[in-house]
Amino acid sequence: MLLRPYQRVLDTCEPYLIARPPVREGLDASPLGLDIPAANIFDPQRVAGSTFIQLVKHVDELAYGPVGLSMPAWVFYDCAVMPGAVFGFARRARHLESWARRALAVPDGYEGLVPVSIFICIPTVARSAALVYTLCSVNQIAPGAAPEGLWRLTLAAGTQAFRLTEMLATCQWRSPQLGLYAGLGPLRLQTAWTPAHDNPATCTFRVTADANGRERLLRGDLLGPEGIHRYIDADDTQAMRALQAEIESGVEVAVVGPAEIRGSDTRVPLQVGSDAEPITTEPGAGFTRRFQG
Amino acid sequence: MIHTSNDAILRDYGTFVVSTPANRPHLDAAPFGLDLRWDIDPTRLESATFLTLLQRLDALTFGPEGMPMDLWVFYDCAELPGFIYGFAIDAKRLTTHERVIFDLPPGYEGPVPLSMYIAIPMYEKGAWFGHNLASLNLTFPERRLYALGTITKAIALRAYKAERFFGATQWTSRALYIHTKFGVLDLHTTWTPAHSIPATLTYAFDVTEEKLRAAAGDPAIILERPEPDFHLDSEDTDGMQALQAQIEGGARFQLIGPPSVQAGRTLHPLRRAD
Repeated sequence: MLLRPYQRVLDTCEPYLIARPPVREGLDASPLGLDIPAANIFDPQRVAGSTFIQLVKHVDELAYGPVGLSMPAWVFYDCAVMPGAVFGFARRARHLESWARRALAVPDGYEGLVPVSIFICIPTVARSAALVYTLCSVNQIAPGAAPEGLWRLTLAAGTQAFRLTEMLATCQWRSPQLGLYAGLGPLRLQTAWTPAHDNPATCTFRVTADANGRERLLRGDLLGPEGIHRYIDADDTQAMRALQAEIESGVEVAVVGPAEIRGSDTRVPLQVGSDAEPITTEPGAGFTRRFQG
Repeated sequence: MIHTSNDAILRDYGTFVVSTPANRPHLDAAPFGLDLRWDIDPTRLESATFLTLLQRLDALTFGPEGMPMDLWVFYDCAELPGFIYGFAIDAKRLTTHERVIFDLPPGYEGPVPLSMYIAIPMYEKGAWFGHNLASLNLTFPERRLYALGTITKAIALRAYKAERFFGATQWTSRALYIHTKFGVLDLHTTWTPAHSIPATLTYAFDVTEEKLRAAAGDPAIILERPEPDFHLDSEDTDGMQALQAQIEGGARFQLIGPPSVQAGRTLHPLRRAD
């Protein structure tokens, strides 16, 4: 039922996994009930599959290069497939139109899988949360190369493939990805202004990524206005610094929905927690259900 | 306490760790009895200068031909998931020349890193992957920081409570002289197309106190090393691919020691492990 609106994705894309055998054993091979075919599982320590892995790196570069966050090639091995794994969806090369094959640098004569989304997850020392540092869809760079909803489905299926309950991630305030993550539930901010990152206008957050969160994400639930305490201007760096100061002083703040955009203004809805009123977006606290691709 | 090949480093400099509040309780804050001097939380604004200096340390170590690590890689692939551990010095103890090399902000009086070891936890509990070892041994020769890199790695692995350690490096890399100080290395790949440079090996070893002490230079500990069955030339890509095919077929190989140079060729001593 939850996946019915995503039928076009399911009809044209197949899940894939890049993982070493010890990692693979611990993952869910049928996230959201979508079986990952054995032929779509690649061991990064084997030579076979290296063309597909190069295509994954290329999609990552196309998605993150333009915002100055290219992944150095060695990082993919050292910081993705060795400690964790890569999940996503792919299409058969022959099913891609020629313009899409060119956009994705598919080699001439290649008939195998072509990645159209990427979800990279690695453990943290604390193990209480896993870190997701890449989430992208080919629709960001070549709109129409895959059906709408791919980004959202990749996040939902990725969190289940990795059996996540708690996720740690970073995102730029102006990125539409922030709203996508917020579909899982409140993004509890760890930083609002991050000089440790190349783009300080980056936030760091933790979010519960359990079955309820995935259902919310897939439905596209949005929080009603009564659940929003205030907004932050996604272009106001002074406001980010002020929010960072609040967080460092112990205030609990969460992003509770996608940005609202009017003209050139982008504002992100926030909720401020307290002992009396913890942060929540559970139904009954003002949820409206509205599908958003 | 630990004896190293350069105990002056332990005496003259302090240690630091970069870790998030969630990860911090999992660190051994006094590895080999060496107390931590600086605790850096990457999620706080006050840490910004030090974290930038780590990027500078990386650039100084690997030089203009190296690929300086972007800040986001430090943040997303080191500070959030794992730890950065190393030796540092109070800024006020730096010479004017050293302050210029580091491009220190005027008035900065905090710690300045001289070495760092970055590792991130792997899916298997107790397993760690090391992805950056930087030291200013060669940049500041007058400080006599001999063996600083190896000592940093050995103590860091103890701090991280590593049980099984993995790394990847190129067959032509001088870093193999350091990595092999930790004993015999199990080879998981000898040809690695998933890496940016296929002529990369992936290795692993079980972390023991004896290996860490030996690598740090404790003269009382000498690791046993079996005789090699054969040697691999660091430029022999056909040989690397042939070994990789055997590994994928179930064979196991070990790198048993540092390379040697014979008639201008760099040769790695290997043995079959099955």
